[in-house]
Amino acid sequence: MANNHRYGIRFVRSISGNDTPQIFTFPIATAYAPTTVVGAGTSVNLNIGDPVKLLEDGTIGLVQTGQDSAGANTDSDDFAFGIIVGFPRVIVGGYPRPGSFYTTGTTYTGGIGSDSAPLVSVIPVAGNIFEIDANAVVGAGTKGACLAVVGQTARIAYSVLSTGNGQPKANPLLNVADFAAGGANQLQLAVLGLGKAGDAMDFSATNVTFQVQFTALDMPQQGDPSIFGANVE
Amino acid sequence: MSEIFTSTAALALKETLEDIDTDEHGSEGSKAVFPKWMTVKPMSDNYIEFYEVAGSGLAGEKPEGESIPVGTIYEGPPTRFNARTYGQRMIVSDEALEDLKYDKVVMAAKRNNRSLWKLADFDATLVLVRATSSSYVGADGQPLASTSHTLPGGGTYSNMLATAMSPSKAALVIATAQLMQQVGHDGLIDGVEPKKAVFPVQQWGVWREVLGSSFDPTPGAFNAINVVNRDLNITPVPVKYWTNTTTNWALITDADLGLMWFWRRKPKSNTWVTEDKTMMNYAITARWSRGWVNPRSILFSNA
Repeated sequence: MANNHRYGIRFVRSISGNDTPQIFTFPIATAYAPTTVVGAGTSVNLNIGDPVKLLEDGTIGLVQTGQDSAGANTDSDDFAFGIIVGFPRVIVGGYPRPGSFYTTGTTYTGGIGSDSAPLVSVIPVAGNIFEIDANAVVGAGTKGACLAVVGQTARIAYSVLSTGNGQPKANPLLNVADFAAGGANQLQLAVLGLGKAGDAMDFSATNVTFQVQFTALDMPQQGDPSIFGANVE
Repeated sequence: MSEIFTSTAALALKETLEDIDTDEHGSEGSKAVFPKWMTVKPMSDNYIEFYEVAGSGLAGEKPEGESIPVGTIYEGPPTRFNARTYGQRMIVSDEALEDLKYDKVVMAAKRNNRSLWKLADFDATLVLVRATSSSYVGADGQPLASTSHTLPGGGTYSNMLATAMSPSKAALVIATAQLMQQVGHDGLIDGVEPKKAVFPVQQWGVWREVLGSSFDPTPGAFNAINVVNRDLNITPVPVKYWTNTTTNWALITDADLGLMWFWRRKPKSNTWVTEDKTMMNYAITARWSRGWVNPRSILFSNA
């Protein structure tokens, strides 16, 4: 039986045992237009479940893949600060209200400190475990094959959805082709186990859900990339 | 399942909607399919065990003056059912609870209930989905449906149709004959009776015809009686969650300790508040185990 795809990166639990995760709220810059890949990719809206980074100007932006492709930073992706869990304020029809997604290129006046700035609620990836769907069948397509990647790392892969509420949606998935045991650069998702549906999933199909933890963090003033065993853009 | 805020369902913040289009919720337990084809029982311990013992085979002739032949028993494999806990919680902000105008938007407790009961049905159906998978075996090291289930005293037996067939009167005649000669634990022909047919829903029509026609539904043989209808008492059980095939089916027999579902604890709800964030947590959990002890409880057609 096919596995239901559930959008995005979903909070599962905190490592500390807290019932609920901490929430951070950030504004979005005026006219911000997220794209999935640096300098290329697809223009998308921001949706609940998308990974975001801090942009060092008070705002947040979508985690992008393919920052550069040469030298020590080969195959570099942005590291995530957190996962979007809500939009307390977006501009709909010219006026602010809560919304379930942010429309790309939304302009407003008054700057990020104004009452017009769209706001994003974010669950930090630090100290939390999330669920994400795999973008392909894992190995031999058995439960054993899926369990065998626990401890390995992989990247986020976007598979943009052009349908559904909030479309176009970045649709972050766990990139099965990346699975590696060595903790290579930019493989920022470490697999910790199977998703909540457990045995009820069809391991021979796509969208098997995994619990993952982020191995690297996007933190301001992070000076030494080697701290996290990976490079930082 | 991430947290639910006012923005998660922002269109429900004002009373402008005629209705909410969502899944139906309520009485989920009574809609479950698995109790129709599994024997549902409670279990009172963390795990329970079953033990197979095979009898003494055929008695023998005792020539005059000689000793009576001696029989013995053989130990089979033990089967253990471990209770596993399943559950889900939803986290909803106070603001969302206060501001979302429609009960049908969040209804966290009802959605949890549906999620858990659906999981129960999916989990039960996995027994059928994986019936022939050597990755999911019973106590004898064989999958539920196998041509080489082991007998404690040595030897094997089958609970699969030798040649897979589509559902028909002929298929049921052959299947019933095979069941009539099914061997017991000691390997002697014992016989079991078919009681239920489980199948993917794509077969619902043909099963209705095969089981419900009083005369033979086979073209060219309409004058003959339908022995399946008149002599057998088989209840059709379409399993809508059985989606990995449209052609397989199985007969469930009256053999003891067949497909079983054990509730260690039926679904239980909890709610609590994370005070510092004023977030409501709605949770549901249940504990169960499922499987089989005696593979004679089915006859599987792996078409």
